[in-house]
Amino acid sequence: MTAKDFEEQAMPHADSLYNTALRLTRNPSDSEDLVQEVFYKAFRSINQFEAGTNMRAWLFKILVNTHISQYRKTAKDPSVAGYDDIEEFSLYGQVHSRSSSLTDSPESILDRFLDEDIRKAIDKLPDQFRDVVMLVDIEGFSYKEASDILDVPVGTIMSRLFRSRKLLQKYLWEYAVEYGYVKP
Amino acid sequence: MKTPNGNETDLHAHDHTLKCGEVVHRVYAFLDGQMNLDDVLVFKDHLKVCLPCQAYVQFEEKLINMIKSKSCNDETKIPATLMDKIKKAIEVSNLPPKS
Ligand SMILES: [Zn+2]
Repeated sequence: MTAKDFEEQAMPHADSLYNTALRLTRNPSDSEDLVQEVFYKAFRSINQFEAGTNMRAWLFKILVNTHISQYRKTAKDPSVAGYDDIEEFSLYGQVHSRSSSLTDSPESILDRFLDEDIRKAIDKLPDQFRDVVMLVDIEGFSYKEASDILDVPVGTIMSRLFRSRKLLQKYLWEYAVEYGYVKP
Repeated sequence: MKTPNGNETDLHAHDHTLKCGEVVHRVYAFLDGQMNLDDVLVFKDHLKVCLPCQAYVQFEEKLINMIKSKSCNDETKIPATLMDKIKKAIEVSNLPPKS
């Protein structure tokens, strides 16, 4: 693959790589360094890329690995193991058990959340959970692609996603109570 | 496993091939389009006859869509200067890539 081919196939993904880098590093200057490093690494190892396979997923894999090796000194996040209980949490269940009036559907609570609440809740997730939410929900990768990118089985993606969404719901419920979106 | 409304057991009288608890457990595979077609049909059949699960799945769907849309609202463009810098560096090193 020539430099021209590489530019045509890889560079269109620059914006989404940059946004993901921003979410990972939370810092524009680190994100620029990270994205630059990803493109150089990808170009240097382009012969490892199988033509016709998913360039976007391949670039994201390099992004995630580079970030883990450079910024996240502890690649294994020990806190993730302790989230078994969260599987039982349900925002719907919380709201449903409180709503007495027939006009106030559980869904109406969702309209009260601000963009800022959602962003804050995602940011609060442990790294390994946030990675999966970013890849699947925000970047739209399939479970299989996310499993290739993070180098874990599809079953792990599913269980992390399940727990991530439950944890997000728990944070949102806490905000709802704190900011008075629900009656105490 | 709990039902969407938090009951410990399945209180619906009609006969399901799929239990309400399984809907709770598999809702994301369904909503993410990661469920095989046969299972999708069984899942949809259950939703047709089970209003509590229908309401629950709608709620989860709305929440996921919120996460998607609110996070995508703040997409930033990569700085043009950075793009130029990367392109130049790649063009200059227009040689067979190292393995
Ligand atoms: Zn049901």
